[in-house]
Amino acid sequence: PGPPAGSPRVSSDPRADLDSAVLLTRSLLADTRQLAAQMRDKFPADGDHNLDSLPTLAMSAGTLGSLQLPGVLTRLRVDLMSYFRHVQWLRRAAGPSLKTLEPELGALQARLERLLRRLQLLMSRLALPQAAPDQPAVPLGPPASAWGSIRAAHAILGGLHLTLDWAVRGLLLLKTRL
Amino acid sequence: QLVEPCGYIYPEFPVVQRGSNFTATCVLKEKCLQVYSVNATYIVWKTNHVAVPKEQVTVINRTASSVTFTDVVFQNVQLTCNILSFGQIEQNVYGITILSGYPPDIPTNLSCIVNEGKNMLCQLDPGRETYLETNYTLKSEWATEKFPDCRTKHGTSSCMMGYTPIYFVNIEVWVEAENALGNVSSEPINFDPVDKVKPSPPHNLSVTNSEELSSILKLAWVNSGLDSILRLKSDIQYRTKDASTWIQVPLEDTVSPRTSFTVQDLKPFTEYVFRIRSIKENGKGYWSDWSEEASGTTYEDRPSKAPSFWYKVNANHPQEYRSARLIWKTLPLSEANGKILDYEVVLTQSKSVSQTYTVNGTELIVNLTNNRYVASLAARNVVGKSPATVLTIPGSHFKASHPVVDLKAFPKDNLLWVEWTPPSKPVNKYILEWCVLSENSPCIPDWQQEDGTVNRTHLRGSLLESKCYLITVTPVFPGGPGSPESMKAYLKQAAPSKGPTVRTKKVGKNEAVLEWDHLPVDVQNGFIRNYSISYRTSVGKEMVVRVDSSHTEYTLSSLSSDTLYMVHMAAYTEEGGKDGPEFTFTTLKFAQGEIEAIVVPVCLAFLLTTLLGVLFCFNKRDLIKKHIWPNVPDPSKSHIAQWSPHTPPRHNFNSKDQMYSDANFTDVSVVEIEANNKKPCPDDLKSLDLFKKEKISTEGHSSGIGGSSCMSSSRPSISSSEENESAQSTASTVQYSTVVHSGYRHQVPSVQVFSRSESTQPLLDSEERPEDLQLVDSVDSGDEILPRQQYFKQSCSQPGASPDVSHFGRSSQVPSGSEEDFVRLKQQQVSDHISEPYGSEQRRLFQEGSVADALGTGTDGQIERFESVGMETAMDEDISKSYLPQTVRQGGYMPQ
Repeated sequence: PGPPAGSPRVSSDPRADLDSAVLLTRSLLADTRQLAAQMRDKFPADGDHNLDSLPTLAMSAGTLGSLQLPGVLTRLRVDLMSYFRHVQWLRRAAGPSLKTLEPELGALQARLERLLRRLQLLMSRLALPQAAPDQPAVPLGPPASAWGSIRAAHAILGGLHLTLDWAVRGLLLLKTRL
Repeated sequence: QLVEPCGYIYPEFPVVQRGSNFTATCVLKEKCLQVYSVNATYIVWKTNHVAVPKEQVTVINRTASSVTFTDVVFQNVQLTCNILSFGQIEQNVYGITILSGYPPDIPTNLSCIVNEGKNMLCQLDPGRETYLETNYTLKSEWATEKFPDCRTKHGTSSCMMGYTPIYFVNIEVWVEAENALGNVSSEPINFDPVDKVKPSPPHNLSVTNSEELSSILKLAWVNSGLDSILRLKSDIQYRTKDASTWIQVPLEDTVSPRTSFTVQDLKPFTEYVFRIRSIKENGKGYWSDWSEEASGTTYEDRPSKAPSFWYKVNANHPQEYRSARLIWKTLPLSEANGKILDYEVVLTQSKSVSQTYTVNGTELIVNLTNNRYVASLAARNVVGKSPATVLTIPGSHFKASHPVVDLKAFPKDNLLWVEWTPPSKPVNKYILEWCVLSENSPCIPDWQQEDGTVNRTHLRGSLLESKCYLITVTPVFPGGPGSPESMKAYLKQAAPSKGPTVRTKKVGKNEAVLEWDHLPVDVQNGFIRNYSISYRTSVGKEMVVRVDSSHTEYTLSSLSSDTLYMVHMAAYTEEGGKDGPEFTFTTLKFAQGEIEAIVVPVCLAFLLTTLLGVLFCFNKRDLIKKHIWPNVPDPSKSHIAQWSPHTPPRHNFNSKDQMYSDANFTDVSVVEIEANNKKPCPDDLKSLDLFKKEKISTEGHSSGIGGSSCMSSSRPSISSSEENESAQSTASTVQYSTVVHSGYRHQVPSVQVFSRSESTQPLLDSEERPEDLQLVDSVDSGDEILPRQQYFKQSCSQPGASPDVSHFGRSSQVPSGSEEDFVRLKQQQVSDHISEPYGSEQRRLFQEGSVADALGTGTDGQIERFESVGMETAMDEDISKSYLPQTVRQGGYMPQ
């Protein structure tokens, strides 16, 4: 159930919205972690798996102190949108091997979408400039092989896990400054 | 884009037949060899998470490594090729999924069916599970044309053809099965689809009855649409409404194509249910499903049987009339053949007068005379009347006879059966009546009628278990009913619901008579077979006695006396028993009459002993008296005068006289001593008195005799005034005397002699009491004398109750003392002085004597002194010559 009809959204506390975003991020992080563990169990493939199209997480502990809410929110939203697109692609293009994880991937995609909406709402509350018009995303090609889709899944889940982990920390830090 | 993998595994999609071998090869790219500083030897194979043993791995060259699995049994498994980058960090290169299974078997049992209005459906048996995705394709063709294939859906084994079948042309159908491991085809089947037809079920089934014939029902229905192109035959089944099994109308009766049928031989007024199905006339193809059920009821017919008919006569009415209750049973539906409207009862008396009653119920109460009647009963429905039942009601003086014999009743298959042997006379029918026997409710009989030919039947009422039924069988003869015969039976027995209450009728020492009442029929729940009596003491083992069911009393024997017994009874039917309440009783300590048997002899023995004792005492009374109650001489009856005055004086007296200058006073000097002895010591008297008391208390035998002797010895000198009279009466003839002691018992008698005085001079008053004289002479204070004399007298007379005192013995035990005393006394007398020391000396001696012989009393001691002094002269002489008037025996003096 959403907020009561007619209640002025602008007047609500951005801190509460941020709290809500943190909670959503945190639960999505838990889901991602669990799904990644399932992947490792069913499709063991140790080592690094990289996908060029995935956003790069260039963040270090030293930069945490200089984080600013607008920058973080903008960056987070862009990255998560990229992951959302990749999950969509994985569900669609992956071969039969990933069929067994289809329900979990679907749930992950839905939660990701929900978090994106929350971030967008938060940004509008804070009167932050919306993200730059989405660059036309490079269409993702089909996996090169059955095993290619499995590796891609490992790469996507791993990257998403890192991004969300960083996001939770960053948002909590920013919340204290708000 | 995905980063290029470092290598590949070949084959990439392996499907392996189970039980076969499989080899995979991993080929690394040159670029990766340099980036990660590895070669094929750094390849690690893994199945799922487990590394493959090195024995199964073969390094082909610098970039390729292969792994081999023999006798593959695993199902789907992930096989990955990994490298140890820089020799340490495991990095996945590639992976494949190995599938294993079997090639398809040849499908069998291919069959097709053409449901009316639908396409042809074919089924097959795929055989062994392949574990792989396998496709089954049904192929069909005419000789000239192929039809579209039909693929089974995944997991199913049937397929609906995608085209309308064409009848009357043969078609060939077969199946091809295919998976990754192979493909096979089944044998083709060739058939005309019309022979595989399953028509739609017939519809609009209707059932109608016939008023003319109550045993038929007419069916009509509409066949399926195939009826126009095919000849169909039908199959009809029916059942009564309440039945569960269907009755088949013979197929040969319905083999020709039809849309109606008449079912015969049905029961009148009965509802039947019908169903119908159809098939191609030649039987090829499939039966259609059953049509919807339809029901109809046959028409009524007149009742087929007469109702059961019986009567009850109440004889309590006035003698001229009897009240008869005619009763009958409603006919079962199978015999009523319709709805019974009423019953017609015709009563005929004396073959001429008849009366007709129409009754709706099942009983009729009429008043009858004492004459014989014939009653007939018929049930009537809308069609007609049933046959009549005729019953003869005999006259009131009729004597029933000829009962059934060997009547038996027994349960079997949850029914209560009754069996009997018919009487010798021909029987029209039998009437069976039964009711529940109970003490709480009256016997309300139910009844049923059986044919005269029957001699075994079961009761058709609703019977209860554990209830006692009284069953009566009455044969009915043409002339009237016979004698009834009854017996009791249970449909099913159970253990009694209560046990009998036992009590004691009589309790003895070793036995007890127990009694109980028969259980009421309501709690028996069966025939009581026997009772069991269990009894025990509080510590003992329980004993059980079985008692026949006819008894109501039992005697327990061999019981312990005076013991508490607990007893309870159980009543047993063939199904079990039930304990009654416990009863306790205590056996008696003594049997009846046992106390009397002990007490009476004991009393008698006591009585006899007492009697004997009395008798003995009576016989020995003299002896007993002598011992217990000796005669004490009555001093008042002593007669000194009896002594012979002619006895010559003893010379020893003379010598005594010679010896002592004052002879006359010698004899009485005894008294003087006594007086002297007593005079100075009122204190001594007290002590003497005390001592006397001690003596009396310490010795059973005391100085009764001694007292007597004392008395007798002192009598001459201390006689009272009364005695003085007698003394004075004899004074004229007897002047003086001396008493000589004889021996007492075993003791040597001391010398004491009463010697006759030569003088004939009457005794002076002073002479009679010489001690007084002496005392007067010696002491001026004469007033002290009398009390002493009195005391002496009293003290001598007191010990009369103590017999058997060795008075003389004691005297002899102190001779030396006595002699000394005597000498001293004489000296004192000479000096004419009574001094205190003498008294003390005397007391001393006395005390010595008392110490020496505790048997002597103080008084006796004193007397001894006096006597021995008095007899001093005689002791020197022959004692035997003493002048003793009578013999002194042991035990006391005899009265003179």
